[in-house]
Amino acid sequence: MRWPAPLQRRLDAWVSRRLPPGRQVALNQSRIFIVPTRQGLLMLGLALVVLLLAINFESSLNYALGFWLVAMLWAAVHLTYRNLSGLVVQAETAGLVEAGENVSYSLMLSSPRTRYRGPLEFRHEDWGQVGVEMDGRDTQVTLSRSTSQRGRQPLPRFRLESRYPFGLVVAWSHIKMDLDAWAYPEPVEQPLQPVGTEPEGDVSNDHFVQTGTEDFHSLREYQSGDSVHRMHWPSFSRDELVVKHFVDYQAADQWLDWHALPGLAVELRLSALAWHMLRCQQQDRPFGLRLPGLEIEPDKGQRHLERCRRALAEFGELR
Amino acid sequence: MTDIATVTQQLLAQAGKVVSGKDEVVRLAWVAILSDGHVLLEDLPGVGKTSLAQTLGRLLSLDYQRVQFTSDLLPADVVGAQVYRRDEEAFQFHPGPVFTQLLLADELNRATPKAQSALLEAMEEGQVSSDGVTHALPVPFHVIATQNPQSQAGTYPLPESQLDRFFMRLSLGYPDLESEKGLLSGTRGRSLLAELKPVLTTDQLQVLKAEVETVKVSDAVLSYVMRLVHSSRESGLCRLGLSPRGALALMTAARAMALVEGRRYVMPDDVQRVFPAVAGHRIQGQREHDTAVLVQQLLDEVDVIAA
Amino acid sequence: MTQYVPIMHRVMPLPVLWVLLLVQGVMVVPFLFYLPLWLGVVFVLVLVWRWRVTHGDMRKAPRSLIILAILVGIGGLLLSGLRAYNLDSAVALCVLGYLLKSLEVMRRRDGIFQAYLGYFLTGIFLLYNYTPVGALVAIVMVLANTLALHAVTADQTFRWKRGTKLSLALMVAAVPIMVAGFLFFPRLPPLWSIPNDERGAQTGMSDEVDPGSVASLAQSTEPAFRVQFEGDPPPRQQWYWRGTTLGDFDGRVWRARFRDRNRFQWPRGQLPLAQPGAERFDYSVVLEATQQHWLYFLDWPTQVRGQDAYVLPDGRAARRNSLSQTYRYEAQSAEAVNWPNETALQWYQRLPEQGNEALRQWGLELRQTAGSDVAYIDAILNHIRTEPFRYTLQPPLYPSADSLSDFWFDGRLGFCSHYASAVAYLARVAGIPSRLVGGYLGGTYNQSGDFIQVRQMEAHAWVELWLNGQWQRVDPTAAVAPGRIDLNLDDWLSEDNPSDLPFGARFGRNLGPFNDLRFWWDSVQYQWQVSILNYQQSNALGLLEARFGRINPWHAAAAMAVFLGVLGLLMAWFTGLLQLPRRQPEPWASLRRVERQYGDRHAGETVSDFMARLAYEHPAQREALARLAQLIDTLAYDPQATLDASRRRDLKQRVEACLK
Repeated sequence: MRWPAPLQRRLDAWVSRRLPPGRQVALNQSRIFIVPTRQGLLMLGLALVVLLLAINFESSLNYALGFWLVAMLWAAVHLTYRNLSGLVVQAETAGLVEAGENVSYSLMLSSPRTRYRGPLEFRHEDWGQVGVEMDGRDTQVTLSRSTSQRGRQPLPRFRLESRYPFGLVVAWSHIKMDLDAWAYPEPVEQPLQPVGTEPEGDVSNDHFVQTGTEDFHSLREYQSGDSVHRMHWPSFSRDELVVKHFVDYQAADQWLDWHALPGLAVELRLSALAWHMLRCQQQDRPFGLRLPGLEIEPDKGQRHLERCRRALAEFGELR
Repeated sequence: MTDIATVTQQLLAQAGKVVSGKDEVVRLAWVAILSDGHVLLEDLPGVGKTSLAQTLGRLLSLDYQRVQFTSDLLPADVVGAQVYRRDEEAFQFHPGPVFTQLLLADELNRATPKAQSALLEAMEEGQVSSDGVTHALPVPFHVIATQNPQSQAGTYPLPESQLDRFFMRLSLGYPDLESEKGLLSGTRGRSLLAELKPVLTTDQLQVLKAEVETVKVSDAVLSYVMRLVHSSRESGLCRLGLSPRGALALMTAARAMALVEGRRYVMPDDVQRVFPAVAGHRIQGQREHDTAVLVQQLLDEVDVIAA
Repeated sequence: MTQYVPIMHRVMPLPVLWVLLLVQGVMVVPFLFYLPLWLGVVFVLVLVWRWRVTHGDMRKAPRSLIILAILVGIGGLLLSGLRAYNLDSAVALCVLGYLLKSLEVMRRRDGIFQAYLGYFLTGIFLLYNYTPVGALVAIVMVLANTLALHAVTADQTFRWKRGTKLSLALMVAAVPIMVAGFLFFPRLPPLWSIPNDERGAQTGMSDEVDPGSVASLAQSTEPAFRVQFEGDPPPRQQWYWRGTTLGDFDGRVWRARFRDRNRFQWPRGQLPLAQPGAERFDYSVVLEATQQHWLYFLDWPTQVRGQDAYVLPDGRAARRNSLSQTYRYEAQSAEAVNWPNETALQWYQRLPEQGNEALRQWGLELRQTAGSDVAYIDAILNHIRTEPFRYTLQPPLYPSADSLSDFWFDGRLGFCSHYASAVAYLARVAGIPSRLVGGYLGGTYNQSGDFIQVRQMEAHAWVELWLNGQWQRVDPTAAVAPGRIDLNLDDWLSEDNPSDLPFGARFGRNLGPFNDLRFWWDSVQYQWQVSILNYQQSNALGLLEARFGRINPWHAAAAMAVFLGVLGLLMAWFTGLLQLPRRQPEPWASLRRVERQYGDRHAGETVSDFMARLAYEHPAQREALARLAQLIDTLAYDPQATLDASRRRDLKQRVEACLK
């Protein structure tokens, strides 16, 4: 339902005043709204028709039936209200994805009292409708939406509603969680340029040595699982089990520097950094990241990559 | 003669001779001392921070020590150290300047975090430990620390958790025209300090402190304080809201302020008067807000009277 | 991105379809007692189709099949004799639609529609069956439909146990409001008259009596009405419950002067009624639905109080609308009345020109020998006593045009109506105004309920003659079967001729516990009729009408709106949408007064800040404002300050000083 713009603004302002965001939202009387659904209004209409039967046919029992139907609508308000009342929604984690992919947020629903709360629906135009059945204390729910831009992807204000158990009334709350997912830039290939500030020291000191196959490095004691091809046979004759140890020599740590991409727009620079990161990761080379105001020491591995991607995603955001 | 309102009058009158035109700051510092708290003075150099500390020390007949914090200051320079006495052939504890009743810690943020935390621990615990032996600090023990906001280079800003240990953060600001004129024209100044007569003995001060606890707080005021605190945490204005310790400090300060005003019950006006000093250094804005603006905004937005 | 399907269009899971099917069964079966039985066959066919659906063939029935089913169904209704437009046929059509609709119930919306139609059918059912048992059936129906509604909403999460529990919880929680509505909502007169409001067959005394019609009534043990007297009832011999008076004779059938056919020509306004004498009875009657107009009385009706009921000048009381529900009225009868206004004596003497010639001759001869009218009648009754006339429930048919003669001279076997008919005819032959009275004789006194129950079996017909300037009751049955006057028909017959009794009346006659149970059940039904079916807050209604004039549809709508409004407000209050305005306690109320005059306090302003600002804006009030601020602060924040009377006065004065 869309209202005229000024009214909508005021409505939004009112909603956000009444329902401020938080990491944890407990639904109580001031947060839960409840109105009859169209189906409930139909029930009211039906009750009126039954009352007409009662009046026109002078049927006493139909008076009772008519009022029973009305009263059931009223009682349904209580039953539906119970589904949301006391429910605690807690922000858990949110993902880190490439811009353009779907990101997911995970929320925890908990209830101080174990009570069957029926199916609860999380509604927002970004994900349509996600239902979760709440039976017992804790339930986890995952919401996902598509991203289009790099940066902070806050979980939008969504609507949590329940029509259970009779669909006659709908109880809902607009919930704004303080939960952000992040989207890092889509990788775009751009050449890096050497940066003057890089200290041109003795490169060989910075050589990175790792187990490899290229150059003979030393002999070491045999461990179970070593390849027979690498046995050092001359030593074997002296009753020593020794294998040849090979290494790969690597260039100095790669610094991915903001300033190594002069002349590019901000987003493009970040995209390029993302591309180089990915490349380093694929080649299993360590890399460090330098952004204005931030430096991440060179390292390897998935966690390091995630950390750097997060830094790219958060770039330019106030912390 | 422990009618607190009269004492306050005398205190302000006497202090006014040295630090003129700064009644409200003196009053707040007085409230902090009554609340058994420590004060952080954040100001430009040369606006009279030291004078204020000395004046208070003198008026309240407190022993006074001053430590200039520098980057090469060691913890032992503050709390004291074990010294080998050749004649006794034993180590003996040589107390540092912290063993006093009123300590002026000048330019606290120039010292290394290590030295800072030595002082802050002493403030928190009321005792110092050196080589496994604890030594109790005198009672009362108050610290007035100053820090210089302008010269950030080469300083170690206090972390938030440490800031929380200061009961109040005060700022003197430039003197007003009238006071500055007096300052410039006269020869008065630090020489005046010697002429000040104490208004209280230490024992009388302790009695007054005990009275703070007896000041009544009605539900209406309690609710107002809770709403202020809650709002600082939840409204979205602040990244860091008021800590429980901060809330407690706010309550105590308001009580002391009521007492200073000669009342036995707290009014929201008291809370509002102490709020900037108590909360200013404990909350942080979402952006690089000036916390003074933020604090004012909180005061403006939170309704004094519950709906 | 999941594709969003609006809730109402989602297909329901199988368990829910099962529930809907079951609910349909619960709804349709009770109706089969009132509607053509072949609707049950339709239900079975629907069941077969749904069986397929619930076993995975989730397709809608093809349109052609649905149209065919509708046509066959309507054809069936017409063949079943439901041709006229009346309630029966409308309901049959409705049930048929309910059945056929389920052929295509797949989506949520259809399910909800089915449940709502079910609720409506429950209401319809209550028009047919309003006994305690019917009410229980209706409760089961409501439960079933509520369960259906729940199942449709719960969708995948539906569980039988939980669903039943929730449905019961909803119904039970709704009971208090239902009771309140039932008790306090004014009973309104029909907003418009329902044409052809006929439910089921007519029973009781008709306005046309041919000799055989009363005998068929006597086969039924159904209750006809129940009477409760204020004070002692008259003696058993006086329990002649008159219903219709029939004065128009065509040689075979007796007809009433004011009938169902000509009910728009019934007299209105000031009627020439009989004047009551001194001895009166007051009693109230709860009459079962007869689909007719006639109310039953002891001799002689003088007053009736009931909705839409009045006394007619031919010794009857009637209701213009037919009795389609049990109906309660209060009546007064007098033992003796004066008939100063009888104007239709001519009409009561009219005879057909032809037929029954033998009887006419016989009568005329007897009159001549008798000498007076009274002696003549005595002679007739004597004739019945002395000749071998017999009273029987199974008389032969007298089909010829001279049926009275055949009975009188040849058959001599007859029921009360035969004797009454013959005696009334003979009276007219001699010029004595006469009429037949249809009603009931006797009844059973129910000790536990303190009422008299009259069954259809007690149906009776007798004669009234105009002798000596007033109507007098003559019951020829007393001549042929004197025992019948003192005993109910079944008691009398079981002594005399048990084989004449219908089976139901014979069963359990001599079993004590069974009799007790029957009496108990009768009194339960009586209580039900009095307190539930005919519940009238007559005082409340009277008060309403006195205040607002006659209740009309607008008043009804207003009453409903008020009821819903109150309910809505309660709901809004409960959900926090509406907050009751609270009276502010002092000193805030005083502050509010100042605010109203000078403008609101800002949120962050304390009382003294606020007053100081006002003082700045209104320097003249500076003093007063400061004094007020001081007092308000003290009262508000000093826990030791109490608001006693003098303080209150002080506060008031200070506020008023500020407001000057």
